[in-house]
Amino acid sequence: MIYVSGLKKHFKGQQAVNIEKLQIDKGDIIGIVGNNGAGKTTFFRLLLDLLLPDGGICEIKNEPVKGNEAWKKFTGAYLDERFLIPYLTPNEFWKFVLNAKGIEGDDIEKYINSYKSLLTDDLKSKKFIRELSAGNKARVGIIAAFLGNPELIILDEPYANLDPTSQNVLINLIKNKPAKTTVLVSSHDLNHIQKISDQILLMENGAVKNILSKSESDLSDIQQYFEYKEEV
Amino acid sequence: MSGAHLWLAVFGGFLVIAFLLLLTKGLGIYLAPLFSDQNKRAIAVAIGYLTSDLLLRYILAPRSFAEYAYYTLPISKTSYAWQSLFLAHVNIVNLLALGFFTFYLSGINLEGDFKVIYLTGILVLVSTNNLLVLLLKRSKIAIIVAVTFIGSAILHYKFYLVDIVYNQIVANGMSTALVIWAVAVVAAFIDVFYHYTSESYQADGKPLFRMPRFGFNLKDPILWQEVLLIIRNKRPRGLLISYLIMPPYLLYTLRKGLMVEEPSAGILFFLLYFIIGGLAVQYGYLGLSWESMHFDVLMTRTRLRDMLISKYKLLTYLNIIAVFIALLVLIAMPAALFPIIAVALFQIGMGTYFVLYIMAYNNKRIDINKTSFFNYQGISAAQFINPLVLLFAPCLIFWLMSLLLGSTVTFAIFGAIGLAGLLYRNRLFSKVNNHWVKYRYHLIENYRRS
Repeated sequence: MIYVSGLKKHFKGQQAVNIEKLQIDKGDIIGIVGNNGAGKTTFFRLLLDLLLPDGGICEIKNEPVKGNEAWKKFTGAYLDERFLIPYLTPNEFWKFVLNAKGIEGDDIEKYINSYKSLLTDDLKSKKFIRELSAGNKARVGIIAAFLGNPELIILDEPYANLDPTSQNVLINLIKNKPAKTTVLVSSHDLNHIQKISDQILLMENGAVKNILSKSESDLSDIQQYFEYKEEV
Repeated sequence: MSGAHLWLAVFGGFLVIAFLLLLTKGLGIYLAPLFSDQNKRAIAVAIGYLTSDLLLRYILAPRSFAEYAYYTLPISKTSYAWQSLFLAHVNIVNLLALGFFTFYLSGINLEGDFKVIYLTGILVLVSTNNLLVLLLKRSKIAIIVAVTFIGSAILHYKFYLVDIVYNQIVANGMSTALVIWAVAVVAAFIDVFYHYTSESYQADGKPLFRMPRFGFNLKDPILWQEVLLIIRNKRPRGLLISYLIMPPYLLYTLRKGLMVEEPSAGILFFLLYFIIGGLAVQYGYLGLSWESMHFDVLMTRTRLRDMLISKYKLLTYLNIIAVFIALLVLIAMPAALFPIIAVALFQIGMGTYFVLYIMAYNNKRIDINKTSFFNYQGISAAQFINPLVLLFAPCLIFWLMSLLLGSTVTFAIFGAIGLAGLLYRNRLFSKVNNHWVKYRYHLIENYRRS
């Protein structure tokens, strides 16, 4: 589904991403962990063609992302508030997303209603997105990323502003995704990542330090990696 | 039709009639010296009517002339209600016919018999046109009425008796012709209603506002979200309102000067270009910055070319609004119709692409919901200079060309450039698209950082 080779990005001479080779299969759920500045968001932005790489290639479904817009039809992403249109109501925004995918008419309501578990009263009201709380904005973006059954879903720290119930709803949504859908999720919450991921990708200084399974030893490796070590 | 829509329709109707009156006043000034003979003028009007009808149908039809008939009757399978039938008769053809009625009503040297013949001629034209449309829809009544019309024309030449009846109708003038016309239209109307309610109809008809041949479609999601951007945010809304007030005010203050002394061609071009192009330039030079707060969602959800086409559509709609405002110049200067058409063509066919091209240079993020008054966020030297170049460069070129070629020829050249732009729109879109592709990473980064 995703193939990355020799991907490099620098900001002011500092390495932000440097991935030698990475392949993600169709239908996998990949959790991405790493400390701040590890390159998770930059990697996502390169995957979504929002940044010009200094070198290397990114491919989605065997097609390069750069200079090709075919991936937009089957990719849903929510990285931050820039992925929302602030002067639309949530409903209008979701309709916009579905219309952009070529979905119109009665199907729209059907798609939106399938995410009932994330809909709060505020999201059903006529409030504009800019008037919503951070948690509700995240809900709007997450629902938008799932709308229209995309083949690839990219979520950057989606749990950050969600209440505990919504976090569990999201975990269920990801776990019960269609078999062919590939999901990339980054998070600082190791528990959430462990619950949903088939594989965990550990990033450090822009590079993929390790790809871990969910075996006991691998999970304890991750715990160890993030443990606070007092400097002597 | 809801209350608000009805109000808008009535208000819009009055506005259209008012502008058509102005337009016909201008047309009259041009037609009078060209056709001093009133009969020739009547023929010119008839040819103009049928040609513009065909042209508009061609523009509105998505595929071929075979579907020519459907574009005045926007009835879809799911909505053959009275409202649709009403809308079917408030079509572009009849609006045009209304325009020619207003031409008649503007009373340019029409007297006596000619007045009667002229009006009867228009009524016959309108009814023939409507019947032709209905005929193509296989309306039985329309076939009968059309055969009667054609038959009466043949009989008119063959038999003296029919000739008398025919002359009587013309002599009695308006009232008789109006009755014939009204009966024909009502009969056809009823027939069409039964036709569409009794038969399963594959929805080939498209609403009036869809112009698929040019990709015009108000259902375009990108365009619609930008319309909402203007309505729901203080800065674009303020900018639009200030524009809608400024040119009419300018014209109001200039009206006496324009009446007393005709301005030079250069000044006239500047005035018209400022009014017609001003709105698109004002809105467009901030270009992609309007979307700076949510640029990422557009870049990951929509194709760049789709976004470009939606922007073009929006600027064209703004240009069309501005052309209506520019028609107010005709109050003081009826002879300005030709320059208005030339400048409008230039702006829609070519000027808009300059605006789209320059949009890519505006890489400053702006908060769209802050007031527009004394708000210079997102405007640095480049953003200050760009609209000035967009406004003054064509004026300078016009002035230089008019010195060499004369004003009429220069206006004609500018109109022709606009027409060429409309014909070669795909090439122009590709040019701008490539330019946007080149600058997109730069824009995304700057909107994120600034």
